Amino acid sequence: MTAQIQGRLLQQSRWAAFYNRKFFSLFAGLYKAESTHYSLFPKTLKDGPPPTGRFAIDTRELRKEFLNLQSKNHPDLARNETEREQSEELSADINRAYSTLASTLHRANYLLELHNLSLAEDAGRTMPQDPELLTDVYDVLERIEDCVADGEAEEIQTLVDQKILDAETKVEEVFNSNDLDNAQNAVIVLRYWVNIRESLKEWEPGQVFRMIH
Amino acid sequence: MSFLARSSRPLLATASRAARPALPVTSVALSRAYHAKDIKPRNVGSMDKNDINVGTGLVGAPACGDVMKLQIRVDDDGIISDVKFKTFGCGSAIASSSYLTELVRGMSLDEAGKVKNTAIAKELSLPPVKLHCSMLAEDAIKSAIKDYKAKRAQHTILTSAATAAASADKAASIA
Repeated sequence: MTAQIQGRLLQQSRWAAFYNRKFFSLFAGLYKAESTHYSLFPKTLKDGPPPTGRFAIDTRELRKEFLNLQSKNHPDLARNETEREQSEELSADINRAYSTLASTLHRANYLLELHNLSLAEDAGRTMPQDPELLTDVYDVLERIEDCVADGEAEEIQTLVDQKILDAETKVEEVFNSNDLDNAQNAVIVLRYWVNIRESLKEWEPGQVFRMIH
Repeated sequence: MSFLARSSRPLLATASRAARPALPVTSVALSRAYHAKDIKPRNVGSMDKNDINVGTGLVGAPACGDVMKLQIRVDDDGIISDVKFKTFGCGSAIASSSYLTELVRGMSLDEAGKVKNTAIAKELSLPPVKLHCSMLAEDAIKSAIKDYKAKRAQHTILTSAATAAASADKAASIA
């Protein structure tokens, strides 16, 4: 009996926490500390988003905590329809938070969002573009397009991986030091190279190269 | 209430489709040839970017990472005689740039500079989430025109300087 009451209280507090987040997300700019994807993972990400926490995260630990949370909160454990709905919603939230935080690019975009700096779809018009970056990206894309040999393809892959590492380092730097003026540009660089990496996965030398995103 | 909201959507869409003015004959032909799912884009390729008659526009969409290069060749009358493009991006971005190349060929630079993304989006029936693809195409032609004009201006300065220098030499040798 006591266990049942305890269980119910726990469910209620989870529900309350869930509603709090929903409520605060309306005021994301003001209350971001109370309600982020980070707060869903109190074990791995106890310091929260940068600059309090670090940008880099232990993705293995995050995955462990994620699986643990999902098993504890499984909708099949619910005793009635209301509980089931609550747990389904929370579970969807945990999924979303996990997939956002586990990817460097998505995490970086999410942090931009928390700072109200999300990249608009027409961002190419509203902010100056770096012509050097565009030329650099374009040259690699053309190299891929012309590539027919495996050796060349490996070279390109290595080059793109290196570009991504450099871009990630820069993204890490700007968020850790809360250098918000340069945050958008750092994320844009990462976006271009990650796009190429993802498209390369579906491509083989000699094939038509298509961008996937 | 939710039922009402759901049913009003298709009604609105039908109304706006009916209200759309008839397209001129040429654009009907083009709209048949072009579609966002077009798998055979036209005028794909490159021109020599160092050619004095060629303007190159290279633009990107920071939010999605698409890259578009558009090149124009301008004849002595200031008319765009050839257009080539290469777009690394989604189908809508490729279709937008492909359509744009057909549209601006034969236009003067001024006319081409006035092409709006809304015209491209309408022609291809792009959904709202793909409007930025047509913007990218508009930005690409603007950027190509700008590049061409800058190149010509630079060329004019250089040639007039060379002519001035040559005539100065001539004058000096005569004296």
